[in-house]
Amino acid sequence: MKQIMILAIRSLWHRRIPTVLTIISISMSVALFVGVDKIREATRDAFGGAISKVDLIVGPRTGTISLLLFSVFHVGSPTHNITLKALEFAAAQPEVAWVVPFSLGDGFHGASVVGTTPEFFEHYKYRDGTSMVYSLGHVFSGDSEAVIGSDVAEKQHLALGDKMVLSHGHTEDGDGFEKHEDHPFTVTGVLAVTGTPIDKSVFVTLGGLGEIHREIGADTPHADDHHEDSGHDDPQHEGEHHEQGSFREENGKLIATSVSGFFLGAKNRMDSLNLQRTLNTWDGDALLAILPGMAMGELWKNLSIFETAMSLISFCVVVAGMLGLFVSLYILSGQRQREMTVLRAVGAGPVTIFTMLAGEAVCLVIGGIGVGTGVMYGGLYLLRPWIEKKFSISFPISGVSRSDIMFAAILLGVGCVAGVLASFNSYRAAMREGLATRF
Amino acid sequence: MDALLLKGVEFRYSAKTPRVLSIPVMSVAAGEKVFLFGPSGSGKTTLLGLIGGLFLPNSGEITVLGQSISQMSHGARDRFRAQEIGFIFQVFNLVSYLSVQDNVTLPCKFGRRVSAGFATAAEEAQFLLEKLGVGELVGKNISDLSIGQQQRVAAARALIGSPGIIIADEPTSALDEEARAGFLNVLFAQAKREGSSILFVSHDRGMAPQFDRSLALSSINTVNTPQTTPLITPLTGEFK
Repeated sequence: MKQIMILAIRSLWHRRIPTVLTIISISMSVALFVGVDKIREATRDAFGGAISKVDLIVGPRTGTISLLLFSVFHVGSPTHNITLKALEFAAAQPEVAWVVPFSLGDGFHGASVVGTTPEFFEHYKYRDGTSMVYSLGHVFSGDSEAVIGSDVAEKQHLALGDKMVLSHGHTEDGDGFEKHEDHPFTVTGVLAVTGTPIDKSVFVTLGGLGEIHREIGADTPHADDHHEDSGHDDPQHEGEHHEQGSFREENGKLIATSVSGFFLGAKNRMDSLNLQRTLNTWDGDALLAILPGMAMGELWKNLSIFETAMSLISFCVVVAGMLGLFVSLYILSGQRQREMTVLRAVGAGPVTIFTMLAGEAVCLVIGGIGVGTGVMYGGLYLLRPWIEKKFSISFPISGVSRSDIMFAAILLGVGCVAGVLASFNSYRAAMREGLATRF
Repeated sequence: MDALLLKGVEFRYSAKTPRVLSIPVMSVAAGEKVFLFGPSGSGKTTLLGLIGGLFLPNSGEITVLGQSISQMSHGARDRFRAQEIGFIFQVFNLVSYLSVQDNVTLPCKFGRRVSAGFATAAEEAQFLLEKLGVGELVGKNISDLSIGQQQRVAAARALIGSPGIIIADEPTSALDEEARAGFLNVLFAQAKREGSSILFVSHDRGMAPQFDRSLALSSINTVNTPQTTPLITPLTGEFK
């Protein structure tokens, strides 16, 4: 047996260029398969990790997914607002530990402007309960201060103390419809990288958000209108062009009277479902309360067709890799017929010949899988910082999971079958031809 | 005791194809050098495959050194071939990814024992290579050898461990006249020293006088029409 393995290894070494090429072709397909799998996992984690430790997201009655998309991913915009009364109602429930309002709808060079309260940074967590960390500075304390995500800081070259001018509304190229140079914000805090939409957000106070709109003047129904009509309770009929909360003025400061929605934490997670029902059936505003986890699952179900397509493509690449192995071994089998005859003549039996050929095929498959997996993990390890920055996708390099082992085992099995089938051609020829000199 | 004895051997490749060989009797005595000739496609190589135990005859008995190879199990037959039969082919005798020494000692990896007087296979390989005039090649790669050198290395491999019978299938047809004579001389000398019989197959009858006995395959095989089609059909009958 040892002799056979020595022969097999020498034979592979002798044909090292085709051997290496075969290993590369297998390893590339394996690397792609593993890579797609990891990206899929990472994407799922990135989506799922965008919000944590929030028990309910409450907003105006729209759809579960659209509420999730705009509140967490800042995709799309709310069609209408909810009143502060809804917030007060929720906060008054005995099961509620905290509520944090948010107002959305404005942009800053492609980043979303989020109006919220300082408590947001305390309660809103990401990736399994990780708190946001200030890489520099601290939370805003006034209506002219802003906290920016890492991506905003880098792309717009903003540092602590810099002034920034926020715009009104969202446009594709990042700038809003109108700029409000009269009310610049000072950067008081820069958040560390989170790998979530937080990186691409600018956080200001609700009042600060109001200031952006105050200057718009008569053409906006917001600030000016509402401080005359502060009891305005019907947010559905508000602002025709966009929504980011409404405000009334008190002692020169703007106080929000309505917001896009709020995040809610229960004292006990078990109460989330009860609270959800209470809020959804409230007879004030038409509210929609969603459980982030369940909403995320629903979103993911909608996206699963892309996952399936990605898996299918990578699977096809692996099949192509294995076919390549089969073809190269099959072609080789013709060239190796003389070698087989010689080995037969010096006393190698059918079992020896077959073990040697199959052993070589298995070596190629193992080599390919090993190199492919190694390259993929090594590559991910090296590229991780770049990917995290560029795509806001975090790649937790988890150890080898059970599914990885399963996958490797299946690949090994399929590869060995392909290799052995191709080798069988050599073997059969060696047995059939006996000593015939065919060349 | 005969080195080789065939009795009533019949062989066809499959039930659908006609008989290739039907040999009522054929023998090679111990230490005898026999020249077997016949045209291409007359079944010479098939006969050698039968003697080597690579195929089994459909009927009849093949006895090598007193042992009936048709009675042996597959494994025993392979081991017996490794121990007692040394093969030399026309070309491409050597395994390209092994060194000269590893090629010569290859049969020992499959059960052939080193001849008395040598401690290791490598030692005997070196001895034989020197006797065959290619001692300096021991560490070389196969690809660096000329065809004449390759055939001598192949002869050393056939001779190592003193097998009972050397089967040579046109080993000289790729060599020029001079190399051919030299090759036969060293092969004969070593076979004599080792006490091995030689069954030498060729279509070139010119070498026949150098053997103890010459035998036409057509004289022992009752199936006389060529049954296998050569891949290249010579326009003028035979290669000379």
